[in-house]
Amino acid sequence: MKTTSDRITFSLAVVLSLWVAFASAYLLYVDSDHPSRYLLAIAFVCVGWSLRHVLRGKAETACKLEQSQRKLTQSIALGALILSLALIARLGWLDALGDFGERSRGIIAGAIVVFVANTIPKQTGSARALAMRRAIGWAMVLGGLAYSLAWLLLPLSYANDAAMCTMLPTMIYVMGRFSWFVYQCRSNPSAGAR
Amino acid sequence: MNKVFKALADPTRRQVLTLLKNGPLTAGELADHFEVSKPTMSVHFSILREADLIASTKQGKTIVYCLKLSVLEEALAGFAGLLGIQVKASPGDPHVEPNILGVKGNNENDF
Repeated sequence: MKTTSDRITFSLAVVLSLWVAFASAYLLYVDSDHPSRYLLAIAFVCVGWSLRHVLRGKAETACKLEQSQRKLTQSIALGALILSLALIARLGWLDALGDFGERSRGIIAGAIVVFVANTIPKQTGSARALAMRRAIGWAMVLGGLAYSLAWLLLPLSYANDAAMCTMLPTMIYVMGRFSWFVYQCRSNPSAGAR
Repeated sequence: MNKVFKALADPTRRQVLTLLKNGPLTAGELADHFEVSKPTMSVHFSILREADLIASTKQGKTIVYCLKLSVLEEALAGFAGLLGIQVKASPGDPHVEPNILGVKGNNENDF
């Protein structure tokens, strides 16, 4: 059964996809020197919605179909949101906002990291994989939060450097933790693999 | 989100989530840590499953539970534990004998 949140996500995905398609087509017309980036944006939207349509014929049960469609709609909405922001910046609308535009770009980038990282531990798996996902999820949420706060609170001259100083150690930790997980799995595959 | 708050408002359910942080456990292994009846534990598991905070897989005759917490949900659980938040007994609350109130859990099927 479709819930209100499903309907809202679907509407959001449709609106954002339409916006991405129209903005990309406009930019393709205006800035014909770099057509590949705009064509890729249009292709993303087309592939996303085509996959969603193809799923109808593939799913075994109505419940599975609903779950897959929900996940895909959320992914389309998030992807289209990120593309929309990039297109808005490309159109120069953020520059018109001055300092606020620059700050909002950093804040939104951090918020997207937080949003994506929040769901990383929400997957089932072995004890070892669970511990790795939790550590990475927490690190990225805190890193994204610090990144957004740096852009929100610090003077613009320091904001970018400070934000990078918070995100860089986070990324090093995430890569190190993931490498350690892969090494452990290879050296001792049976331990913690329930 | 309401289901998540309801699930996190009970100390037993928060304790279940804490135990699952160390890795997947069977229903029996989880129930051994609590001095409550198995049907009551079963209702706790149902509430956690409904809130999508845990996932269950059947392995032979036993059910194995696995943690499925997002970072935000884990932080909420931590705050609820820190502040000692606890719900009052209501018809949907497993503090009260579930069979009397007709609350549907999986009962002994979980164990």
